Amino acid sequence: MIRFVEIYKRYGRQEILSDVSLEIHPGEFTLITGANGSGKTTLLRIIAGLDRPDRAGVMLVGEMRSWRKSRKALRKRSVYLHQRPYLFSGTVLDNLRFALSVNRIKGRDRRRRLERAIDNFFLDSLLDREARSLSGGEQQRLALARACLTEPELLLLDEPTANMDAASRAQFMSMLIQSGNRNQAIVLVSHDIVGLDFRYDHHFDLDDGRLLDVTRTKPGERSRVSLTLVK
Amino acid sequence: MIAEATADAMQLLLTGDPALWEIIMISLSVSGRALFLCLPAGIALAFLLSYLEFPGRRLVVVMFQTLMSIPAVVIGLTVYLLLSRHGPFGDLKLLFSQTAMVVGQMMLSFPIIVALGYAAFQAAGRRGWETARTLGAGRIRAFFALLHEVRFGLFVAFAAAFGRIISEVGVSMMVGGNILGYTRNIPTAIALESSKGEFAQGIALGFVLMLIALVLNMSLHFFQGREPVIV
Repeated sequence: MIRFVEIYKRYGRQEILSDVSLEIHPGEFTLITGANGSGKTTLLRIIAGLDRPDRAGVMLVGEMRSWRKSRKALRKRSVYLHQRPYLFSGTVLDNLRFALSVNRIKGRDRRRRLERAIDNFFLDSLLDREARSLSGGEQQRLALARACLTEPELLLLDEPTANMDAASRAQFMSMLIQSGNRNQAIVLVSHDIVGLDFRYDHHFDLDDGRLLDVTRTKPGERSRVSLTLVK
Repeated sequence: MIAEATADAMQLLLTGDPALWEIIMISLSVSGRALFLCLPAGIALAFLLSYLEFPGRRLVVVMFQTLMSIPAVVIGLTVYLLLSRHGPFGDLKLLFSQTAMVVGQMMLSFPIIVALGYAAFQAAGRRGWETARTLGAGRIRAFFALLHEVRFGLFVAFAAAFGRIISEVGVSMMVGGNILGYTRNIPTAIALESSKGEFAQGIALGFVLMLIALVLNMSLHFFQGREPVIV
């Protein structure tokens, strides 16, 4: 479990995050919604260890430390997917191999992960294509496959379906849910969850710099995104 | 007269005139050394200016962009004053040597590599770096991944810097002294031969300069292949 306590972040005079606390449990799906500019991306990047908060405490393996001291561990445990994914020049296969080689994954494990990613994300016919020539939906699919290859404890998705049509959104979410392992926590931020159909464990709404728990479930149950949750 | 001088120039080039080829080799050697000595530091600084936030960063960038267009003769004068007998580095006795020319040409090419390298890294944005890091790459591995991403932009910086120093007269003449067989390079030889009214060698060396420019540009196109230029 990773616990973030009292996250504060300000850009100039504007307070983006104010006293935001959040727990992320292994295997759980957390949904964070909020209007554009509400600080969702900032929060996700702080969780990923990419952006520095003004103040924050992080509890990892039972020890509370400052965000700064936890940054390395956060980066090691998580993979962050940009809203507009960055694909390296080269083919789809080159991009997948990059994730494996930087993590020094070799031999049988390498083959297993690669085959699984190709199957799960339907990349078989795209392997030799230039990654940057893919459609928006395909690029997002490849970015997710590449992230899943590293089997992170924490998968952080920043508006992954923002530029997709309804069918692509449904396909993407289905692949996301199926690809995760039991211990992988997923945090997805989105300003618009219309048309998404998936089950989640926690739902927070970020409003005026504060995180409100709007989960409509009993502990242990999973709720389902539906149109009624959309403001 | 032009046709006659051009015919003589072609003859000098095709017959492999030793004096002519010695001048060409000195030019390539001095400019090559200058460029390769400042290339690693220039690229590293361009990278740091692109990704490191510190007070006065923009000012440093503007300074390097301004230095791109500094006249070669001003650099020549500066190096001359530094290396002359009464200058701070006079004891090194480097004036009128190839080393002095290399130092001067490094001062000319360094701002070009930094400014154009900076532009290349800026064009790639932060997402490339963050993606490599979040996928698990260490700083060094992520840096090399990024170098690969901006390779075309860096090659443009390399070509521009080489084009500038291979054809400059100011530095070579002031700190090299135009000594035959030692510091006489293509531009200083052209200046000298033209002042004597010996146009054939000047034209032949002019052809060589144009050929070098052509080879650089063709190799850039070949290097790019069918991929788009990043800068």
